[in-house]
Amino acid sequence: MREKKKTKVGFYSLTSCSGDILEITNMEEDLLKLFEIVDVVDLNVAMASTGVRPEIAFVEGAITQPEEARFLRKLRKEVKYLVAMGSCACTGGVIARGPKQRRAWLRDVYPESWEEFRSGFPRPLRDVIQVDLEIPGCPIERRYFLHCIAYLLKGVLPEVPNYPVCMECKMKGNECLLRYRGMPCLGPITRAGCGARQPSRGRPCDGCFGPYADANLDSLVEIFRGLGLSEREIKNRLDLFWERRR
Amino acid sequence: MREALIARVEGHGRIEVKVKKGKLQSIKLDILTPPRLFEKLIVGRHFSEVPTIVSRICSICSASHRVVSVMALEDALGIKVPEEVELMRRLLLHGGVLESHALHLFLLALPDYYRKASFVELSKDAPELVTLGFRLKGLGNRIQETVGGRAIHQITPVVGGMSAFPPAGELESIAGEAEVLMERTYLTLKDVPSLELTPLAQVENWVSLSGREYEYTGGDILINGRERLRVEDFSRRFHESSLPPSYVKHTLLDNEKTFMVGALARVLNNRSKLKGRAGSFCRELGLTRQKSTFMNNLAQAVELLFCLERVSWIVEKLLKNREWSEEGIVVDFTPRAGRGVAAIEAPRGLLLHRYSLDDRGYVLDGDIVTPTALNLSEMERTLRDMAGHLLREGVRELTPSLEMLVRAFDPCISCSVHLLEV
Repeated sequence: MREKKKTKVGFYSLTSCSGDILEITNMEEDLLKLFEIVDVVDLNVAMASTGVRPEIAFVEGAITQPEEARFLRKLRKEVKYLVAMGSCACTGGVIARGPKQRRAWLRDVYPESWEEFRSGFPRPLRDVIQVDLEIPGCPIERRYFLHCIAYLLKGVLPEVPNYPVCMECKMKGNECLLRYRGMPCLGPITRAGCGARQPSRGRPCDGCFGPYADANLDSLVEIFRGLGLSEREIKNRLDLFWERRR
Repeated sequence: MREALIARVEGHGRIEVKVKKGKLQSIKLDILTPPRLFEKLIVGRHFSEVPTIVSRICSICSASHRVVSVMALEDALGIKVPEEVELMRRLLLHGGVLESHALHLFLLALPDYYRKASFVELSKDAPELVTLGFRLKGLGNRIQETVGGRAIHQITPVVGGMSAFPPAGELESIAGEAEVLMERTYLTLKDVPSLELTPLAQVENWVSLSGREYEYTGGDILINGRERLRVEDFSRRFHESSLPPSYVKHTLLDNEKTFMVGALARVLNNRSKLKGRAGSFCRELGLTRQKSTFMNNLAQAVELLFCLERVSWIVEKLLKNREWSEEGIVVDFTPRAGRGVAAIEAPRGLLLHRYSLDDRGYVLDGDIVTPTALNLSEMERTLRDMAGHLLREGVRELTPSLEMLVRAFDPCISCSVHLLEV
C-alpha cells in the first residue's frame, strides 16, 4: 500500500518566552510520534528550517515588530490553517501593558539606541490576519494541543470549552477560594481547560485562558468590591492576562 | 557577509560574520527576540503579582525566575521561610535544571557529536540516547509539575512560602525514578564521543555562586575560584554597556573582562564539593583541566548526575520526621517599604533579581540580570577567536562550527532581552 502523504506542519515563534512550543516538546518521547504522523517543516528549537511551506502553522507570541506582521501575512497566504497558540498570540498576553508608556520605557531601557527600535505595543495575531483557531493559556496545555492537531489533520476545527474554570474546581471537589477564603479568583469568568491548576494549589485563578463567552465580568467585580478590594487592586487583577487595547 | 539563524537554541539569534579577502572583519551575535520590557511591566504592580509576571521572561528558566523573584521580594520584606519551604523550592529548581540540561545536552547539542542534523535523525541511529534524554527531561518536568504545579510558569512558590505541597506518594515516586535513571545516565554519558574541534575556545574568566555545598541557591559570588563578592555588591564589579542595535546589553567584569557563567563555571568554582557519582564523573572527564568552552556540555552532564543524586536526597529529607500535609505554608508578614536582592544559579548560570517596594508593597523599580546577557560578551569573544583561527586554517564553511560554539553556551535567547541600566 502506498504511504499516505503526510501533512506539513510548521511551528513559529514571535515575541514571547517560547513557552508554548516548549510545552509541545514537553510531550517528551511522544514528540517523536508527532514527527512520524506529520511532516514537521519548521521547529527552530529542534532543527534548522527545511524551507518548505507548511499546510498548518502554529504560531506563538505577540506581534511587536513590523517584520513579524509581514511574516504573518505571507504565512497566512500559504497555509490552510493558521493557529494562534498561547495568551501572547491570542490576546497580547502578560507583556501587553502600558500602551502609552511604551516609547518612554524603551528610551529608559535603551537610552543610546531606542530610536532605532521599531518595537510596538504587543498585539494578538487576529489584529493582523484571520486566525482559524486560538489555543488559549499561558502556557497552552499540551493535551489540548494534541486534541486540536488531531482535529485539524482531519480538516475539522475543534470546539473550545465554553464554561468557566469553576466547573473544573467542582469536578475536582476543590474548596472555593473565592467564597470560603475570600481570594480574588478569576475562575468564575475564565475559560476552562487547564483543570483548575491554580485553585487546586491554593492560588486564585489569574485568567490566562481569557474569558469564556458568557462571562459576567460586572458581577465578579461587584464580588471583589465586597471583599474589600480597591479599584486599583481590581484593575491589576483583571489586566494581568486580559486583552487590552491601545 | 554571511549570516545564519542559529537552529537548536531557545529563542532567535543570528551570527553575523563579515569576511573580506579571507580575513575576519567583524563578528556579531544578534539577539533577535524583541524587547518585552519586563522591568517596566512590574512597576506599580503589587509584590504578590511580580513572580507571576517575571516567570514569563523565559519558559525554560521559569522556575528559576519565579523562585529568585520570590526570594528577592522576601529579602525586601524581611521574611524568613521555614526549612521545608526552602527544601521544596530547591527540589523545584533541581527539576528545572534536569529538564533544561536534558533538553540542551541530549536533544540540541548531542546531535553535533554524532554529526546529525537533529534529535529526530539521532533517534534513528541511537534511539536509546534520545529515549534517555526524554526520560530525564520528563523527570525534570514531572518534578516541576508535582512541586510547582506546572512544567512551565510554576504556581506554588509565593512570597512567604509555598501555596501547596505535593502528595508524599508523588515525591517518593520521583525519588524512585531518579534512582533508576542514575546508573543508566552515567553509563550512557561516559561513552559519548568527544567533539573534534580545534582550537578549543578557552574560558579565561568564570563566575558563579559558591556556598558551603554544591547548590543552586545560597552563598556568595565567586570569580575565577578566588575572589568572593557578596550578592548585594554585584554592581560594584559588573557593569553593563549597550552596543546598539542589539536588544541585549553586554556586561563586563571590571569594565574590561568578558566571563562565562553556567554549568562549567559552577563546576570550575565548586568541583571539590561535588560528591558521589557526579564527583567521580567530573574527575574522569578532566573537564576542569582543559577549561574549554565546549566542556560546558559535559559540565551539564555532570550536573545531570548531581541533580539525580540530590533529588533523592532532598525528598528523603523532606519526608523524614514530618506529618505530611498537602496544605501550603505561607508565613505571616506585613508589607513595608524596602529593597531586596537575591541571586540563584539558573540552569544557564547566575541570575539576579532586585526590587524596591513602597510602604504598601507596590513595586517602585526592578532590575533583572540574566545569565545569557552575562555570557553575551564571552560568546562574541570566543566566536571571534574561533572564526579567526578557522579562516587562517583556510576553512570555508564557518557556520557549523560557530553555531556549535554558540550552542555550547546553551543560550536562552528569550531570557536576554530586558536588561536595565542601574
